[in-house]
Amino acid sequence: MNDREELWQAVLSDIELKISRPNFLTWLKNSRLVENQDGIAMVALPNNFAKEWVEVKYHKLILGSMRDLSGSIKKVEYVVEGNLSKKPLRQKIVKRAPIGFGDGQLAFQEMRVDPKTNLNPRYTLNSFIVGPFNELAHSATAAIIENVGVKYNPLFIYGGVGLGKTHLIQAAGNEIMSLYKDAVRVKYVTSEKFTNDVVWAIRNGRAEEIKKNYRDVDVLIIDDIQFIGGKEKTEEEFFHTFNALHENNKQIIISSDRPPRAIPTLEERLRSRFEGGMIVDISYPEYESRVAIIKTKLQEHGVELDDSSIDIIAKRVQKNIREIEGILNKLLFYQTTYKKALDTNTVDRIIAEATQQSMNKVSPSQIIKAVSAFFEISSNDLLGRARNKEFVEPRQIAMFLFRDMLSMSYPDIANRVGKRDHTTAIYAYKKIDSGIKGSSDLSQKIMMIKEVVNKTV
Amino acid sequence: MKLVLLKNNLKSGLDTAGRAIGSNLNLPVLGSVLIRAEGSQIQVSATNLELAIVKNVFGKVIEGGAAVVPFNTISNIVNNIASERIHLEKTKQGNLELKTDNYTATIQGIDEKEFPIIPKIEKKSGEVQVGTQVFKDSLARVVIAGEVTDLRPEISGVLFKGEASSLRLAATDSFRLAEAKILGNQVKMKDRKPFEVTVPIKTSEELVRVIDDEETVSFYIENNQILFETESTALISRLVEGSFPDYDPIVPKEIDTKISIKKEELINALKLASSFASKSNDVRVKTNDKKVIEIYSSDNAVGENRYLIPAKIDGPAVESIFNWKYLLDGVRATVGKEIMLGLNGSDKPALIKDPGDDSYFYILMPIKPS
Repeated sequence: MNDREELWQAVLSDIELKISRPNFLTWLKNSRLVENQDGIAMVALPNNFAKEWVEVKYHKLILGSMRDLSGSIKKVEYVVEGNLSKKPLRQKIVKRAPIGFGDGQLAFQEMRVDPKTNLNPRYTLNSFIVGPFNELAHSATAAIIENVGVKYNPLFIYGGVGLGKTHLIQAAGNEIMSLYKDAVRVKYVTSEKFTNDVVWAIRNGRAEEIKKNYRDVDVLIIDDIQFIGGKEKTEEEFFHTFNALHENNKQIIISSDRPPRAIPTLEERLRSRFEGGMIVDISYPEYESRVAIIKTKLQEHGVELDDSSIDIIAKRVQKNIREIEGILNKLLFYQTTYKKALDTNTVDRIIAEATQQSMNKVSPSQIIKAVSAFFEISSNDLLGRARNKEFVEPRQIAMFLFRDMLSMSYPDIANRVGKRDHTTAIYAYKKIDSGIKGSSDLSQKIMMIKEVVNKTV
Repeated sequence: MKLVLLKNNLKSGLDTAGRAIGSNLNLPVLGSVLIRAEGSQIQVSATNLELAIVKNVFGKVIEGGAAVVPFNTISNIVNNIASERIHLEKTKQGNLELKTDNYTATIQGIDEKEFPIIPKIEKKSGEVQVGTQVFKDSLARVVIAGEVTDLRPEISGVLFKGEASSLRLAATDSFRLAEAKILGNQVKMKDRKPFEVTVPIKTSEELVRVIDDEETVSFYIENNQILFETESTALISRLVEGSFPDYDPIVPKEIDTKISIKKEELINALKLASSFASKSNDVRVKTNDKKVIEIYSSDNAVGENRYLIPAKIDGPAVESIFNWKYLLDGVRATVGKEIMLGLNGSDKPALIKDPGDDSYFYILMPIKPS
């Protein structure tokens, strides 16, 4: 805080005591002292109404208080500075929001995405909901926004599908752009786009284009880096780009669905570089955060849902925010089509339908295949009775997945896995379930196996 | 303050000014109207700090003064009493006494010094004068494409772009865009340099409602505010920060398939199709040979329907999917009996306009076929 801000804070605390709280909140909360020179102070107010009001009603108070605090002030002037209030005053105007969001409605691309940075201005840090599950990632991002290129470089954010990685890194870009304006060049790409650019450059013999495009920036944001794993030429190009930027203290922000060491095909030299910065994860939102997310989404779309429905959604959809969005869509659609409020039964049914769709197709044998492939053991060993250490954990994971993904009964599970007692299955489920919450290593494994299962469907 | 007014005059003042009433929990006075009498003039004003509306009403001023009372209360009374004449008098305690032949009410007043000061515009930077009817029509046809959004504040308004003797209005929610031009003798710029400002959606919507049919409306732009003025009404609003995007590149320069069609029939078809459209509101527009277009929609839970409309089709066969609401908005906004629907494939904007009217167009992005 500089002297000017301190002075203004002192003036405000003084005035706050002298006028009523509503008046203070309405007229002075978003004010700022923009200049204080040669005895003339310039106060910025968020709109013309505030300017008129303060000029007429509080001028004497302000002048008096300023003179008390800083004897040199002779005159106070007022200006309007529109973007002072971050939140617009108007909040509750009924939105004519399309009912279905995330449908195929195309937008004028030219207007939505900034062609220079590739950033979508829709993603802001304000609309990012922070809870314990993503607190670390959020504060690391906030830290680099303040200290671009110095604090954590690279910043590597990983987490499962639909948990807000893209939102966070795009918001970082947008925030940096709005903070530093034209002084900073930001570029956002998906690793797919990067790969395409590399391929194009190689094919056309224009390697220098890549260098020009990607090295001439201050902040490079790469989304879904895991996809460059195994593409050697792209990895090499990225490696050089990375080095060039890093050496010059340019900020690099990377997202991925898993930590660097878990991207199997990633080259060692890249991995070690990613690990040299800050690695933060976004885990699954807990109940309270899910409720907060649902409420915010509802507000964004200007619709309402009763608390019990919100509660059901938050309890039933645990691991994917995008899925929450999908279900909200369905519910709202139902609500508007049938023009009646939803009762809990209907909500239950709709959620069941939505979550079932992704489950139905998975079969137990796919889980077995995925688990045995992941741990490189044979499926006979996995389902057998041997109690070697190398089989026990995979077996428990398999039982956990049977329960978690297929909602199979415990006796059924136990029967499939070497004709065991159903208490074994219960024990295995509980052990892995609590293990996930404790160790990120285990939850990482589970996530990757699930992904394989879902991919083979 | 002591006044005698005709009920209808007071009512029109309250109805007009009341459009600016907002709910603000911090400052309850924003839910009130200010009634001020000076000389022989009576003014009713209200504001939500974004927008202020002042309406002059006719009445007899016996004694000047001002009173501030809750809008809901006074408006409720005036809407429900039968008598033609209303006496208003401010009591010594600052309350407002409302009397007719067989009715009296005392409304708790608020100190008028608490009422926000409505900013003044000095009218130094020139005046723009527009024909009221054409201005209201154009604004109403454009504002449908806008959307109130906090995500992209720069487009949550209607662009007012004034040049030598034309005024261009445009709005978009990034899925569709509408533009109307007001030309020639309908616009007069008096000492006014060319300008480009964005007027909030809410202000634009209220303008259409509030301006009554006087011949012209004038507006003045200054210090990030805009003042609209007619004989009896003044509306002052903030302007939207940031510049409206340059939309010229997205307006299709060439049209692949031109379809001319009767407006009424298309509206009917879309209304019908809407009852079968699925959750993304999608309807399919398809050309069958050169003479018929087909409007088709289906929903798993409801069924499907198909509407054939005779049309003149010029260009290759085409099939596009649209949000019927967006499409209908555009079709309705054209004036003539015939409309021209220009389609450019399934991922480029479509154009809707009246073939005989170059002052308005509406463009719309299709829905991606899934």
